[in-house]
Amino acid sequence: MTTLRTEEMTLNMGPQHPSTHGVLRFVIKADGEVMREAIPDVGYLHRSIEKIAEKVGYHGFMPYTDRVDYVCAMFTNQGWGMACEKLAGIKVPRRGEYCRVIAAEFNRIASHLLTVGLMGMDIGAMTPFLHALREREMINDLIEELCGARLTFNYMRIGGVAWDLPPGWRDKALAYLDHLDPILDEFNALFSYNKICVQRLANVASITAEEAIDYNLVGPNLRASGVKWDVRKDMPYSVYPDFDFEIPIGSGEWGTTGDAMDRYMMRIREMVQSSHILRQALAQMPEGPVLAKVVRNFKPPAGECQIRVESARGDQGWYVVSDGSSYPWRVHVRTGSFAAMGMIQKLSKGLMIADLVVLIASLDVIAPEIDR
Amino acid sequence: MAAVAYFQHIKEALATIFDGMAVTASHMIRKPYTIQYPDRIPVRVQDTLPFRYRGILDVDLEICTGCLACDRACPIDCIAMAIEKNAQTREIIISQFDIDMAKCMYCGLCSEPCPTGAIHHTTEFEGADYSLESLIRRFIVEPVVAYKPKKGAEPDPDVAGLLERGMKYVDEWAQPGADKPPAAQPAVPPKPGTPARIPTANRAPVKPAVATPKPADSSSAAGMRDTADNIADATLAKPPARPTSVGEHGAPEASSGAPKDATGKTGDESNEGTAPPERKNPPSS
Amino acid sequence: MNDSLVTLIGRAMFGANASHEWAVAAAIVVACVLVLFVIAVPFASIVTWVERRVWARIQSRVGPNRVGPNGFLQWLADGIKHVCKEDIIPDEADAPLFKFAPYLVVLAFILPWAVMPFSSDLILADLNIGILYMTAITALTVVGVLMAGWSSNNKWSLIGGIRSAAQIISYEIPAGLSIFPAVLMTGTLSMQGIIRAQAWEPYHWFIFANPFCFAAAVILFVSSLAENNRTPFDLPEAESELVAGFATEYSSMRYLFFFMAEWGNMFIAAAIIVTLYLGGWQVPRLGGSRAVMNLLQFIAFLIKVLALVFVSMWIRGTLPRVRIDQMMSICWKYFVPIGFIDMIGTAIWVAFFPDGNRLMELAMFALGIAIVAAFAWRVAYFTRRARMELYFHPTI
Repeated sequence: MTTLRTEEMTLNMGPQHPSTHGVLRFVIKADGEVMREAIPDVGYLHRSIEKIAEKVGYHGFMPYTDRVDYVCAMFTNQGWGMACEKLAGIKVPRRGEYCRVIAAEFNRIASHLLTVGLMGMDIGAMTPFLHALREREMINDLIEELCGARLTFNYMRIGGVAWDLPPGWRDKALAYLDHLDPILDEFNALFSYNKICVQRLANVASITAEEAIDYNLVGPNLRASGVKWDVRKDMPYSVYPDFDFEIPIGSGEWGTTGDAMDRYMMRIREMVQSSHILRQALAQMPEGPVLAKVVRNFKPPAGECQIRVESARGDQGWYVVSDGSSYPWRVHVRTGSFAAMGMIQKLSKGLMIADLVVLIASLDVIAPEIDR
Repeated sequence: MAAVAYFQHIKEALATIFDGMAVTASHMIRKPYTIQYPDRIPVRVQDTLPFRYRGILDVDLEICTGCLACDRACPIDCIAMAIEKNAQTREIIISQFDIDMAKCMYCGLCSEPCPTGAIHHTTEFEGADYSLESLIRRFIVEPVVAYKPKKGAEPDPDVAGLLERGMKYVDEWAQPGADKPPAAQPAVPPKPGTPARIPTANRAPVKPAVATPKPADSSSAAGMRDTADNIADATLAKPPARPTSVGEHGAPEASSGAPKDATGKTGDESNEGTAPPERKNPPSS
Repeated sequence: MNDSLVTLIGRAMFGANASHEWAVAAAIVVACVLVLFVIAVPFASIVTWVERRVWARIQSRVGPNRVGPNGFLQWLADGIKHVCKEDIIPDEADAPLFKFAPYLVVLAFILPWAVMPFSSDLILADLNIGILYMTAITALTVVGVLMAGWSSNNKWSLIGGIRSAAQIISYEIPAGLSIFPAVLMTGTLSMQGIIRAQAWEPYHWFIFANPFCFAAAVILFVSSLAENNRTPFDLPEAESELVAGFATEYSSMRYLFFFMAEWGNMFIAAAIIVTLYLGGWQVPRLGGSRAVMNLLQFIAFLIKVLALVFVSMWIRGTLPRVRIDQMMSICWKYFVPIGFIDMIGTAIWVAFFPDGNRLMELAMFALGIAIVAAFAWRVAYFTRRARMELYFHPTI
């Protein structure tokens, strides 16, 4: 009685692929449709941004922080600004902080819209992607009026923000928020609650809370696994204590806690919470300057500092070492996507190839953030 | 019960597909959200972009003071300027002002410290061309004398128009200041979008404008004619309003003589003795 | 009258000699060319334009509108572009199989047109096994797709080809089971026979005859989506996973063959459903001449088929894709049992009500109208709620 000889297939989901979020490569060892493991291969987008900081100086590095994660550039701006301010002991005026929070929360909504749209496209529904991008275009228009750019904003400066709100912008922003709420309901009816979407996402690649903490996941990925950790509430910075908002936690209503559906729904719920924060911020804005006085030749005292910002992808850590000169000695960014890549190899065992795409999309991996 | 779950699945599938198809059907009867650029739109997109839009850089050489603040601020070193000081007349001669638009990342860090708004972003974004060299905008044809801001109103009407536009651009940027407790705030809120600003009343009478050779077309660049025309059109789209007489706007709202960005001395001796034109929206109001 | 298109053309071309062998052969050739090149291939091409416009409106955008009036010639431009492309055959690919595979798939697209009932006289061949013939031919696609996937010498193509083979073979069964209710109601497999057993009034269509037929029509529609590799069952060509599935290595016209076959199969699948359950070409007897009646019937048939094709495009724009194991479980755990229940239920129904039951027909028809009304209400709800006017760019 001879046994059938079966082989493992080694597939290459290469750097050019319609569904990896950026330039990523996976070497997949698969037994037919079911994977044994998927080994990620990163580094295609490495641009030495952290090294460039040592060359361009503190003020000049701000536009480079946009490129670290171009989908949610306001958070990287804010992280860098906060790091330099902490090094030099600069206090940002209150109105400046409010402007930062408003810009950041709009960026969070835009980033999450892109993520949920991409999730739709990866599963095969092209329509939610375009609907989400249409809403994102409206936010881009708003931010274009605020700071002049649609993607790489360079809105914040060390000590505050570069532009105050233009006249009439508040009303437009509030009108947009009024427009967004029914659109999110419609999006849910079209895509999130669709039986096929639920079947594709529920029970796929669930991550328990212990695993999530062990593997250093952050942001919506971590909260979907049931861990209540949000830098805005647990290590508050800026003026977030002024606002009343909730942190959505994954509870496994459609499948298990921490599966792809939970991670996906986190983002939808966070968009609603960001909308609440924005309404409060726009209503409570104080008057005053938006930028503190900072010398052009910025030389913070020698030392190091660590800053954490809750970006759309999670807890983004900035570590800056200064040696007293006008160029930083070392800058390091720790991004949520980098940690998420580490988990993919472990999670991919037993998944199907179609589920790998869902996994990457649900972890909201953005390639430039991994490689910087 | 497996049977109940079975029929539950069928019911859910039918209900959610029904809902989803209703959403898409409702989209079919809505207006599409598409701007059919470039030929089927009523106005040029460049005219609809906001004032702060960071498009292709343009330099108004008539009001450039040669302070090199933009050159120092650029993180990519895409601005190449060459200035020299004329020892006798103590004038600054600018002999080279090149901006490499291929390197520029449109961050705005150069237009922020400009004291007069000479270097500014326009709303132009169509800059594609066939060769990399044509993307270097060379603003100087022959060396020019840098602008010296006047103590009173600018007498030359063309330069005054450009200066006004430049200061309007510069006024959009945030003015640094410290947080004051609410009680110290003055009662009058700032008026948004104030029109032309004029340098203030109590200044010495001006000297007549010096006849210096100025380039005929400040934005001439080899091979970039189309964009240059567009940019020239864009900047002159709204003809600058003629400045009214000095003194109309009363007392200054901020301390005069403060440098435009309170970021410390630029260490540049070109501006000593003259106050750069003032900002209209100072931080304290 | 049992005239068919061939006899009509034969008589028109050759008059009294129409019964000679060579005349019949020539008439057959002319008839086939006519049907294929006037209806089949233009449909398969123009439907791409329609699909892109429909898809675009669903997605809040405009779709191709530059090439020709409203973009109508986009398909021509695409076709010409594809023909002008380089024909690449990978080095390690099995060249004879690689070249032959698209032809098999196109064959599966072309052959069913022989029994397509356009009107009471316009049918190429009214076989008395019409519907069985159609079901058998559509299974040829499997061979072509498997060949394409294997001969491309590409693991991703292979996965796509095997997925597609599994899918098509599996969904043949619910499709076949769902054909039976209509056949049972009439007792014949011939296309014209089934149509003639229905009447032009909607409540006389078989879809409303009894609830079993209603479910069978729905299952037939969904199975035909699966057989044509349409969303939500387009795993073989899942763009976001496998680039283009089994057709990844194909370029230029060979690639277009696969997709022409896919779009053309949409028409065939819709035609099957229209024939079996939606009354075919039946129109009210208006008393005109035979030619006029035929023309009206043809138009009615086309309208019904195009409406179903539109629904298929609409579903493509709405639903995400199912995974391979979910697709299998839908087929074997849901469609096959329900298909069997439909078949047996219809058999029992026909035993009790050989001539149909008017009350049930009207009740089912009322149910259909209710579903459509509920749908329209829901559409109005979404349109009202989404306040698009709050935020439009000045140039729109």
